[in-house]
Amino acid sequence: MRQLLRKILPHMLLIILLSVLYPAIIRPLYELIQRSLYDKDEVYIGLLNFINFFDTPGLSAAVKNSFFVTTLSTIITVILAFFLAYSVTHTRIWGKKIISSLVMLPLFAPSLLPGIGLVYLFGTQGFFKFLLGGHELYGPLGIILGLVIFALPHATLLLITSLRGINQQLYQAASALGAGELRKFITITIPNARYGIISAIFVSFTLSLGNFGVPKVLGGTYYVLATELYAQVIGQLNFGVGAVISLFLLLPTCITLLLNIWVRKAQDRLSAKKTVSHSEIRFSPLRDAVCALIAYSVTICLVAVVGVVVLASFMGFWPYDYSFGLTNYSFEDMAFGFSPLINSMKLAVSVAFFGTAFMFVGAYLSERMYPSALLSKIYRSIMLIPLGIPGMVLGLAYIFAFNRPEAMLPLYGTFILLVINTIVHFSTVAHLTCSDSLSHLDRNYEHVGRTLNVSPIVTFFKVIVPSCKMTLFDVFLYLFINAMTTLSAVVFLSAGDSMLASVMVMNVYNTGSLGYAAAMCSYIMLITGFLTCVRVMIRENKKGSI
Amino acid sequence: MPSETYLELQDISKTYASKTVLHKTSISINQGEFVCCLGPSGCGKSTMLNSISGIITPSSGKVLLQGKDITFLPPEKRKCGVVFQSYALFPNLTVAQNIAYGLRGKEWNKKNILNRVFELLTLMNLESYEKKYPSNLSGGEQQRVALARALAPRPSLLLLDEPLAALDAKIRMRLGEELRRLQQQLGITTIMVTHDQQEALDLANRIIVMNQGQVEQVGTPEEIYQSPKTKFVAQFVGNINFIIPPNSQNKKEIAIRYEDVRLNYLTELRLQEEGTFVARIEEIRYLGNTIRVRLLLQDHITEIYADCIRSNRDLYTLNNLVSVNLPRASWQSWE
Repeated sequence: MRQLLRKILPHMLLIILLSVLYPAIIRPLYELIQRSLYDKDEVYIGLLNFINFFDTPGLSAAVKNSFFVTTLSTIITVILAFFLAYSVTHTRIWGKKIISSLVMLPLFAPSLLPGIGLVYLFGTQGFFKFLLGGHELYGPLGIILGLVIFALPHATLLLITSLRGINQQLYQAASALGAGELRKFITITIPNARYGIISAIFVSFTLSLGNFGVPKVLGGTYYVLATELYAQVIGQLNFGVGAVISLFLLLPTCITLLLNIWVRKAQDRLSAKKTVSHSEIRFSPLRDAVCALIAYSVTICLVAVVGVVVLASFMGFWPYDYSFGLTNYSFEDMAFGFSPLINSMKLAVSVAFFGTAFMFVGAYLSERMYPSALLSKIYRSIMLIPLGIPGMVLGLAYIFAFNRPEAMLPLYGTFILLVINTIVHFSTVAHLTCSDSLSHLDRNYEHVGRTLNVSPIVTFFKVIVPSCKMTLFDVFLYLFINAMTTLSAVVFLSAGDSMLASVMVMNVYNTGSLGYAAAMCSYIMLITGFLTCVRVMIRENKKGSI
Repeated sequence: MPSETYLELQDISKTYASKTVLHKTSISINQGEFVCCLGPSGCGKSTMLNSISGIITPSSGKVLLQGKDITFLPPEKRKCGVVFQSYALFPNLTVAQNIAYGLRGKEWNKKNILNRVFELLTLMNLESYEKKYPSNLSGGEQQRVALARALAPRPSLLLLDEPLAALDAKIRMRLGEELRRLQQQLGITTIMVTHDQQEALDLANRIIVMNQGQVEQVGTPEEIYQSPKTKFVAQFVGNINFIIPPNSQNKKEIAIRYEDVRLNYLTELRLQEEGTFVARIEEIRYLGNTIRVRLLLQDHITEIYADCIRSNRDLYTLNNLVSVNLPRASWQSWE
């Protein structure tokens, strides 16, 4: 009996988790696709929405605009990110650690922040407006700048990992065979980072295409798909067209998924055994000078954009009233007061706690409990889907799935739905981090437990969880920070009592109270930044004790 | 064999942060020699090899190649062939492209490169692998490609960093033989780093034994094995007992190799001989071609191991009392 239970239990648990994923991921997407075939009054109209979409001049312009700004910003982002990553991993310039930390700054801020920062710097009243040479910030130029700032940390992180993963002995072998710096760069660095570069391109493209905060603040009358989607759904309640736009936003994801399979196959050839070896980066003044110039200026720009928002939040009314003070921070004349911030923190804690628990258990069951290969495969495949769904699309899909009387679960407008939605939005990275860490643990831990006649549950809590402590903390932090800063997914779901800080930033910005928006951004960064510092300190401590 | 000094290290030191991994090491190597650098992991042997290839620059000291100071010469100017433990084959290039990687410059036109690559593929028995990628090869095959790549530009010095460590025992032995044959055939001066004493004894003309960043002894395999200069060398190469013989006057510790300990039937006559004791067999292990016996000597304190050939089967029985002879000639001791 016990034997049987032991065999069935993992399968049962995984099936339970899968049955949670159905209403959380699969069903909303299904409803989204279905809704694209219905009109405003929920009458089936076939492909009419798609036909109308291309006939409406505003919408087809939005498609063009979106692809233009996204393509251009992706190119700029990846080039800059490559220089940054290369400077950090392959040069001898000063302050590599500082650069790699500062570049990550935008990750800790709400997605509206790059926009607000750019407005302060280059807007109509901006300090550095003259640098734009008479060009208008609001429009494609501003959107591209904002998207670059927004996507740069993600692309840089990917490329740093990719460049750092290159076996150092390849360079040593090439040197011994007489290759110079340039030849090593062309024959080793570029080919080995090729797939990192490709994924950086796709990630930047997908993130930028689905980004809502930047074009919202900097778009002006220049409409892109994300702002058009918001206008159609919130402004005109035109859900059918909204669904069609959503499908458009999903397009690059589908391409990415297909390419990913191909990339992964090719990548296998490159993923050689990694060897850590003492290697000295050679002194090369030209290389270091070029890299330093680019890395330092990019870093300074990023810090300026974030910094000006923090600075402005302490001013009376930038740029008219420079009186220093905390008036913006009191939220006195704001109807909501501090409640959005408290809501956001509640959301972040719930998302981080339940999300980490769910992802870890799911990853454990699919990675280590050897349930039927098919079940694990299904679970793992489903967990990859959320990565490709832009936040706004996910939010809209949730409206379709839950905002109707006959909806499967009566969750609309509740805090719980916000939590589920946010967990799903960021679940892929959390899941992959957990799986990766679990797959690196010794394969035999469970067998040891079993041979000593210890229940697998005891082994799970006494061995597996403690061994993954740091990973769990990292996943917790990742979910927390993203829940604090995200705007795109929750913009459709957060209202009234459940108003969130990041959505509040947008609303306040719309009413022209830039100072309050800046203060709210600063609060959010203070919280996320503080937690990150705690994590760094724990890491450092650990290093010391071992 | 010409015995002029080809490569010389003078007082090489290397310090990382606060840790000294190589401490004032000096060695000299003759043209055409096969030298093995032997030592436990972390003894600085790889660091020494890397300062010869130029991958690292020593903190102090000099590297002389045929009398020329090359301490600060970058690796690409030194023309050393290097084989790494991980092989470091370029994953994005085919076997042929890997081998051709170092063939650049005026003397290498297309035809020459093709010929040279073909020559090496043949030499290494890799003819059918030309167009394959490294990830499709077995460990032993990758190793041969790495060797071919290092040899392609006709280096005058071949540096091998634990080249056989990642291979199975059988393949290791075969590749070791191939390596030795190749080295003799090409007459190329070769330095190999290894932590495997058997490999070093087997392949080298001379062995440099290193420990904690310093050279312990330099000598032929026979010298290293028969007359180790320090206790460390004796311990590291082969198996050796350290004992204070019972009845010894000065209570001085001596060392004797397992295979030099003689076991025999216990007879009155034998006990008369010098350095012969009564002992009890405590443990017997079959090592295949030999038997390893653990013995407790008559003082009930001293334990000693003996490696014996498998004759006199009835002698090797647990708890048997036997006579143990420690021939004076094979005693070793250090101050």
